[in-house]
Amino acid sequence: MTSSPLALLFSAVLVAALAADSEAESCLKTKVWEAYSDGWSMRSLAPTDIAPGSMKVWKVTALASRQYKVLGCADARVKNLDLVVYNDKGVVVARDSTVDRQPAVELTPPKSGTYYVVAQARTVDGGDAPVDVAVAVIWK
Amino acid sequence: MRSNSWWSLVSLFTLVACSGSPEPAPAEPPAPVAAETPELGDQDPAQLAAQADRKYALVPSPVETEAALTKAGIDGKLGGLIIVRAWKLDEKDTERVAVRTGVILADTLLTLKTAKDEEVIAHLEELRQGMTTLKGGEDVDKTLVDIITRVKAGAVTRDELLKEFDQLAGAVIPELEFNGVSRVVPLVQAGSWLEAANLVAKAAKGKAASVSDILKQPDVVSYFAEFSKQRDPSTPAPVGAVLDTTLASLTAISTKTEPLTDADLDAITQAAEAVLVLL
Repeated sequence: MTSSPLALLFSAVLVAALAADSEAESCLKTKVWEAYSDGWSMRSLAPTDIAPGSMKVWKVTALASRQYKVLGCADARVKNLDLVVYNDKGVVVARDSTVDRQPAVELTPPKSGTYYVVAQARTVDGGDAPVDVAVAVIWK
Repeated sequence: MRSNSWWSLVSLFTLVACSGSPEPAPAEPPAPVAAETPELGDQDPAQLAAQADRKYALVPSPVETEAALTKAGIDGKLGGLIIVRAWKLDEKDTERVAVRTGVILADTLLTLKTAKDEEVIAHLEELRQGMTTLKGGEDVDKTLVDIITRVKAGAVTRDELLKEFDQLAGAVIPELEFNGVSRVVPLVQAGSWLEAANLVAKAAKGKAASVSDILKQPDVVSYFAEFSKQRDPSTPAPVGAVLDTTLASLTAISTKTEPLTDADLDAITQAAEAVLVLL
């Protein structure tokens, strides 16, 4: 099935689409597709840009019976992208612990409700211009 | 030419001889070391809420909702409860077309693994029509045409399709401009969520308390209500009024502190159906 002409055409279209994405978005899509083989599904994938040192916030509804993972990718100027998850009281409930530009953080919510995912470009080379970042929320 | 080369060589030797030992090349300035911003601590929730983007990750997907229902111990086959509705998707009324398109998206997702190819294709054609009316743009149309072609040719598995629909709902549609009408994305999401909530309420009859967590989502409802209030002048007054009543009813149920009851589930179904039959 995967070798049919249509499948090959689709692969070409997909490659072209990925080529049109930012480096951050392409990196994240690859990670998300890989996660499907481990039983994860995608809730959302958001490309954005962030000024060095600044943060971007997404509001997320998490269901108590599910596991969540937040994945991030940033362009090559970013040396450390942080992901932090807050509960609705503004308290940190999860954060990534790596110093890199492809962080991941897991959340198993004790109760359903509103959470905030924050991405912060903590260490960036090459001046004050914004950097490309993409953040996905996946669940299983 | 040969003479010029010779004199050039002599000049070079002379230059080197006169300059003594060559000066060391100036050292490259050290690469600027990026300063690290301090780690984030706890935040003021009002500030977080004010800055938060709600377009991407706020609303759970219908399939995620179905999975939560199964986890709550209820037969989670929501696709079997879907009422087939014949909707027009080429009208001028953005509000109705956006909500209808959202409902169709939810129905497609919930039936994708079990539906016949013809049914999947029919849903995809409806989505195309909705996206065209909403001015979703050429790219999303090409994507849908590509999916239809592969379904017709049997060149895609249902698992792959589900993946692509997750991407469509969670990444592609939130990113679309819809000709600058910012209400379209929340209204499409409202249609999907309303359909899923309606089906969950039907499936959970007799076990209301176990789906309280799934259905009580006040931030989701208030997000929809906020955009629904920015009414399009082309929306017929009865549709707008019913949508307001439905969202008010869902807000009241979402903010209850005690677990949901069967009466609440009936109220959700009635409120959702009131909108769906008018679409």
